[in-house]
This record gives sequence, structure tokens and C-alpha cells, in this order.
Amino acid sequence: MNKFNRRDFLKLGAASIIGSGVANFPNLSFAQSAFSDYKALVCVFLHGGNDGFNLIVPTDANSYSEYANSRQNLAVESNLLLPISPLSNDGHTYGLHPSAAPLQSLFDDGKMAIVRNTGHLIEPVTRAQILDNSANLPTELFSHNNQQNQWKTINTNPLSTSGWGGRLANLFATQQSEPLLTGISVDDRSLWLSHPDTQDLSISANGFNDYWYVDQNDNGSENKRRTAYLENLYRAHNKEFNKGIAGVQQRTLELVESIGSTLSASTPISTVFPEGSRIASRLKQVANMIGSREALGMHRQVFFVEMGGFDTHDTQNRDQAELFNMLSTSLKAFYDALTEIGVAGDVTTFTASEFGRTLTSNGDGTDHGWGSNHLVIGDAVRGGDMYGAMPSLAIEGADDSGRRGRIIPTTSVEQYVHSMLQWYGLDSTQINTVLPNAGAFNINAVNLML
Amino acid sequence: MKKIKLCAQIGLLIGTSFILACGGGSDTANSSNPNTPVVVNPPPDVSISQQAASKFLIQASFGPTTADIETLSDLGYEAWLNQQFALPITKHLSYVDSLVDIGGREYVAAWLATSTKADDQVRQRVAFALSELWVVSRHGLDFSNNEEAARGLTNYYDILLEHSFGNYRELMTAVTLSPIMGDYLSMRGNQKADSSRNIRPDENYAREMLQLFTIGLHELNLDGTQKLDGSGKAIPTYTQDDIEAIARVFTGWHYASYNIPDTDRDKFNPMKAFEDRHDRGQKEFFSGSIIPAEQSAEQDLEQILDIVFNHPNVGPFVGKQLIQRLVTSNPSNAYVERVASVFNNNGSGVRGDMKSIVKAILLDDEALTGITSSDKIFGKIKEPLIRMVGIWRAFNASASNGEFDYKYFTESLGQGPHLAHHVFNFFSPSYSPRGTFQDNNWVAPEFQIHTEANQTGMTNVFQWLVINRNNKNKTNPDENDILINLDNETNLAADLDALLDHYDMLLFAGEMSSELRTISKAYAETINADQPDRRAWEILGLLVVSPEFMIQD
Repeated sequence: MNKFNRRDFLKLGAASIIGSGVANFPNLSFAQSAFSDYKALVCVFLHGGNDGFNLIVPTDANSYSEYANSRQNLAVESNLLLPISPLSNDGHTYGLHPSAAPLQSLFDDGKMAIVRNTGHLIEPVTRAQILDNSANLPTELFSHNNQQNQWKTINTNPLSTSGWGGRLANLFATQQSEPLLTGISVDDRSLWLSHPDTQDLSISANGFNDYWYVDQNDNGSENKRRTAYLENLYRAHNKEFNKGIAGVQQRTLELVESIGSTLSASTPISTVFPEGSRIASRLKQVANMIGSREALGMHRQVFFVEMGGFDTHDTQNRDQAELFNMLSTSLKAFYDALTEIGVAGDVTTFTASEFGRTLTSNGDGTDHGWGSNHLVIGDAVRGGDMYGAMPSLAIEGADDSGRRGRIIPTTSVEQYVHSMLQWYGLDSTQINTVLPNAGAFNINAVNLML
Repeated sequence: MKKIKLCAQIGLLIGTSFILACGGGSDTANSSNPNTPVVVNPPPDVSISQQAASKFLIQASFGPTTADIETLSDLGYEAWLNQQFALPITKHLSYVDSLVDIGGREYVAAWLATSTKADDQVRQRVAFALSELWVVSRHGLDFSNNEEAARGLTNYYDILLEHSFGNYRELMTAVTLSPIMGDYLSMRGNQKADSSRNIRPDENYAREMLQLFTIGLHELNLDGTQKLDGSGKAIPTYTQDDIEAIARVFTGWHYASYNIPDTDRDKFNPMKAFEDRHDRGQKEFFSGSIIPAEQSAEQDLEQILDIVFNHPNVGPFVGKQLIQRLVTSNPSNAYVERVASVFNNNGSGVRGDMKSIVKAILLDDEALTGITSSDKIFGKIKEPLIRMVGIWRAFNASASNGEFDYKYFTESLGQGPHLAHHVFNFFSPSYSPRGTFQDNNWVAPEFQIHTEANQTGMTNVFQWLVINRNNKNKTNPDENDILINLDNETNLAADLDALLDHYDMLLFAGEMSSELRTISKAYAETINADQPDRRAWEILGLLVVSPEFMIQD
């Protein structure tokens, strides 16, 4: 690796490099890694607020009747639900949405766990506390962007500039061959990976393009163009906006020219991903990066991908079938690709979403809710089972935060991810760094890793 | 000669007093001409330098052109703005309707062509800013019928254009009743509760209209800062109960053609009220506001929009975001307060007068001088789409088939016309990149779409627009290739300093750094002087990917 051609910069003189964005890409030479194994966490964020209560539905007579009564025309018909058989018996039976067949096979094979009614909390709260205004609640509940930010930061400080994925990456970045490749989002930048001390990275789902007009391999006049381009890019920029733009341009150029060829030289993944799907192409790119982990010298990575469209205010029954189908086939393809690469036990994938949805309907859709069911996938997962408490799905029932079936989470984000962080290798001090509010909950409540 | 002719034309348009202003001379070098007729009580010289004009056009339009720089320089800021206000609206729909089917991308072509070519540049630019506040998007709309959807989406943008120089209150009604917004935020079809089926009114429009389009989440001071309660906490503007009440207010609306067989999806005309679907009960919200029972859907709608429009947050909330879109990411509190004050009262007792608001934003000392309070930083990153259109404007781009059928947005620009991923726009007004910006509590919203994922594409595309698309390997361009015209620049290339001066004025408002100038000139000198066209496009290719072209300050 490290095919980055540094001659161009050397020609410009060292002074023009120092103080530029190269500081964001500090370690172009190999560092001796502290690890011999590989581990990655992959966050799949379901943007818009996923209706997890229609993805996993109780099927025993009493619970289904409660669900159907709340959900009315948005209830999935019981005879269409795909039955699953959790290892532990909580007195209920369950089924998956009919468009989620690939998840049924993952669950049956013991590769996927379900965590019930998870959401962002400051501390455990009850319906009674909410109704008498004594509950300590997250701010701006039911607002998309605020709840996304809070899910990603899970810090009691709402202005936190670090995400918990960023705090996780920051624990390991300096011990990696390429610190910049520790926390990676495919496509958009994510607050989840942000950290003041560690630069997060966004990469394109389509991989790394070449710089057509300033390519290092072009000859003649093209190289003079490149020289001029680099000279201007790497000179000192004295305004903050310019410095910021120059920094991301420099970082990108160095990244493309140092690892682009490594990635294109890696063995293509033969697992077939669904066509025409953003989430599938993003997950495929994550698989590509993981497939190149040895060539890149990476041992600890954190990935973020997002899938949009879950804000189903309208035509939910139709849209949900498409969303769940795309999500399920993409997650299954990703798992299969990891198996192909041989790292299905080293990579754990989990879903996230700003909130669930109301159990009541607005006619043909749902509004912003709170708790929701989530998925954790991988060979290191104690799969084929369900975790977290099953809430009442009754409108104005024991777990309704109000009048519309916005269900109070019975598992916090901290509880949801705690055993995954233990598996990742964090000790209790490190866990407190990543999850500063862990102490507010029974943090060992969900133990879903082998 | 040219200047006099231009002035005369403008005088015909907007009144004789401005002929005198022109006659007074825009260049100080001419003012001592002994042949200048003596004018009694001459009006003040309002003309401005070409550099100031170029700078203003970067804020107020989709980018400077040589002609606009001259006109604005002669007229001065205010007269030029008044001239802009008086221009007829260049609507995007007429462009769409002039196109042969290009596969559902007509709305994109219309946006690109009109933003590039229209004379009413200030209106176009303000409408674009409004479109980033009142967001709808092709993503999230039903495009199963391409033509219907493209025309509907374009018509939505025309609504923004119509009200860009009107009143914000009227804009609120027009957008609220647009069937495209109705589809996008699901107010279309919103119905009263049916408790037997657990159906409650849809909260989507009520919530996002408040949170994103009008008042925001927290009570604001006139200067845009948050009000704080006794314990130093921000004060929410509304509760979940308020959202549920206002969701009831917005019940009853549907396509104007609803229930009419075969044409029941009117994506064009304002939505109509269907009273049997409207919740006629009393609604209480905002700790004491009441909409009484037994009102019609229309009465309810007008009343809620009046209440929201008169909320003290609207001026600072909307004013600050319009400043951010046009002028600077981090306006001083005083600047926000001045604009919000004009929003609240234009001086004649009118609230929400958009012309006055636009003037207050663009003619503010902070915008014109670039001097802000000591805890802020002036300027902003130019939006990628605006940079692209800016290049097309500066160098008079066209395709031989007359269309602007361009489609390479996601990988290269991070944005595209009508292509936001969700109602939160391409980027957040409060996005702050890590490092210096976060450390100083500065924001750089547009930085959110300048990621490592798209910087290669962005660099390639901007060079391609200039180098490949213009000449290289393009002796026989396709009819839909959008080509810039560098004839004038090729003529200038014999004198590289003159060429760089010219680029400097058009692209950098005369503030190109000496380093960039030196590097560009040295590179041009490596190209044989008998290839002036190559010199012209190679320099331009370097300039448009330079960090300083991506900034306005």
C-alpha cells in the first residue's frame, strides 16, 4: 500500500506540506499494530424513524389482538407473518413482516438477535412519571434531527460534538496503520462518527474515483497541471473557510492515491447484492473495505451506513413492504459477503433509528413514535433469540407515553449496545467513555454476544 | 459610449432621475471632466466599483457576468435592486413545457437553464434560498407519472418565485396549499380523527412547518439567540400536545380534483377543503391560543397561519437563514436583529414584506463591508450548485439543442435541483465541522456536503465543465453538451495579466490571492503562446477547483 506519490509534494518543499491538511492523515508509513485480530461494528441507521413494531409482531392470540386493535388498518395480517422461534420463552410467540424473509433465515440460523422496544432515554421512565410531568425526558422528543443527533451522541449534553461511534474509534485510531480508516461513513458524513480528536471519513459507495485531470500517472502537460494544482492546494491558506476546504481536498487526494489502488486490486466480492438500492451499494462498499483490511493493515474499524425512507406518514402498507424487503435482502447479502470474506464472526451489524412510530394510524400512515424493535447480526451474536422487555402495545396502555401509542422504550441505547462494546474489547473505563450515561441504567440487562 | 447607452436604457425603464446619476459619472477619473454639464443639486453618486458590484452579485445572484457587473456598477446597489424587483418573473414551468420529453428530468433542466439565463437573478436566487427552507424533493414524491410529477414540482418552485418579493404570510398560504407540499409532508388527505379505527390526524405538516419553515424549536430573541429560562435552559416553542392540536387544524385538505374520476390527482392547483374530513372541534395550543369550534377548514387554516406568522420567532428564524443562504454563515447578532426588525416592520407597518427583507439582508453594512463582530467569521462556502451555475453564467454557457439536460449531481456536487434527500435540506444551518469551527462555535452549513466521498467527483466535474466540455476532445460536441464560451478569454490570453484580471473580476470579485495568480500564470506560461485557447481554459480549470473559488467572503 501507500502508493501515494509524494514526489510532487517534495518538489514543493516540506514547508508547504507542514501546516496543511496532511496532519489529518498523520501516518503514511506503517505503524506496528497492537492487534493481531480484526473487529468491526457496523451501524445501519434507518433514517426517518423505522416502524419496528410492524417488523416484529407478537403472534400469540392475546398479544396479536392487542397489536391489531391498536394498529387497525396498518396491522400485518397474522396469517402472513413469518413465524420465528426464539430460544427463550417469554410467554409470547412472534412473527416477522412478510417482506422480511431473509431475516427469518438469519434468525433461524442463529445469526440474528432481536432487541425489543429500544430507544433513547436519559433514565428509565414510566407512563405515570410522564403524565405527571416528573419524568426526566430527552429534549425535543419526536423531532427527527434532534432524536437522530441524540441517538448518535447519547450524551446527556445535547450539544455534544462527538458521536459514540467517534468515541469508540478514537480509542483505537492511533493504534491503527491508517488512523483515518478507523471510523468510516459511506456517503454522507455522520455525527455518530464525529470526534474532536479523531478525523472521521466519508467514502463514496462507488469506491474511489481517479482524479482525471490531475492524475499522477499522466505525462507531459498533464503533469504540469498537476504540479500547479498541488502547489495551490498545499500552500498555506490563511482564511478558516479556505483552510477547511483545502483540508478535505488534500485528505481526499491523499486517500484516493494511497489506498484507491489497494482497493481496486482486492479480490472482488462474489456475493450478489440487490440492484438499484442505495443501502445495498453502501453495505457492499463496507464489505469491500473489510475485505481489504489486511492489505490496509486495519484491525479495528467502525462503519456507518444509512437507509432512508422510513418516515412513513403516508401509504405505509405499500412503502413498508418495499422498505423491509430492501433492508432484509441487503442485510442478508452483507452477512453473506462477510461469510465469503471469512469475517462473519469478526463483524457485528446492528440497526439504529431516531425513533419508532405511533401505533395509531393517521389514515394510511403513522407519526413519530419512540421505542422500536432492532436487529443485531453476526456470527458472534447469540442469535435466534430476543432481548429486552416486550412492551404493552395498547393505546394509552402501560407503556404508551401519551394517547397515540408512542411507546416508552424499555431498553435504552446504552443497554442495547453495551454487550457489543464488550465484545469489541472495551473495558469498563472505556465503556464509560463511549457511554457516559451508562450509569443511569442496568447496563448488563441485554447480553446478546457469545 | 457603451455606458451612456446603457444608462439611457435604464433611464427609460425606471425614471429620469437615474439618468442624472449616470451622467454624474461612475468613475472618479471622469468626474473632473471640464465638459461635464453643471447640474444644480446633483444627486449623490451611487455608482460603485466593478469589484464591489462583482462581490454583490455573488451574494445576490447566481454569479457575476460582465454585463451585470457593468449595469450594477453604474446604477449602484439600491437602484439595481429596484430594477430587479420590477422585472417580470421568469417561471420554470414555461421552460418545462417548451421541452420535448427528456425522461422526467425536465424539472432539473428548467432549474439549471433558468437559474443560468434568467434576467430576474435576485428573485431566482431568493427563491432558491426559500426552496432550501420550504423543502420539497423529488426524493419523497411519487414519480410514477414523470410528466405530472415534473410539472408539479416545477410549479411548486414557481410558487416560491411568485412570492419571493411578496409577503411571507402569503407565501405560507400558497405553500401550505400546494399539492406538492401536500404530498411531500402528507397534509394532502389528512383527516379528522376516527377513534373507532384508531385514526388520528397526521402530525407531519404541523410539526415540520413549525420546526423548519417558521418558528423553530426554541424561543428566540430578536437577534436570533435563544431565550433562556431561569435555569439557563432553552425554552421550547411548542409541545407535543400543540403538535397534536395543530395537526387537527390542518385536516380536510385534498387534491382539488379529489373524487373526480380519472383526474383525481391534481398536482398543480391549490388543494381544496373537504369539510366532511375536517375536524371542527375547538383546538387549543401555544398556552392560550384557541381556534374556536365550528369553523371551516379554510377559516382554521388562515387562523393558524396568522398565529404562526405573528410569532416573534419568525423574523429572526427566517431572517437568519436567508442571511446564511445569501451572505454569510455566521451573521453577527446585530445583523440578524436588523433583518428581523425589518421582517417585523418594513417601516410602513407591514410585517413579512419580502422586498424589504431582501434589501435589509443585501444592503446591510455587514454584507457590504464583510466586517462582522469579533466573535464571528464573515463569509460562507458557496453551494456547489451555485458554483456550477456561476461558471455557466460567467462564460455564457449553452447547448446547441438549447437544453440544460445535466444529470451528474450526487457523486460530484452533493446536491441537485429539487434533489434534497429529506425535508432537512442538503445540509443543516447549524452544521459545524470539527476543529476550528466547532472550537469557536462557528457554523459552516455547506461544509456538510463537502465530504471525502465527493471531493474527487467535485474536482473532476468542475475541471471537466471547463476543460473537456469546452474544447478538449470536443471538436464535434453533442447537441446536449453544455459548453461554456471562452472566445473572449482566448482573445485576452495574449496578455496573461489581462486574462487573470478578467477572471479575477468574474470569479473572485477582484480578490484572487497573489499566490493563486502567480501559480496560474506560471502554469499558463508552460503552454505555448500560439495556443491562447488552451491557456484560457487551463487557467480557468485551475481556478474553479481552487479552495478560494469555493468561498465567498
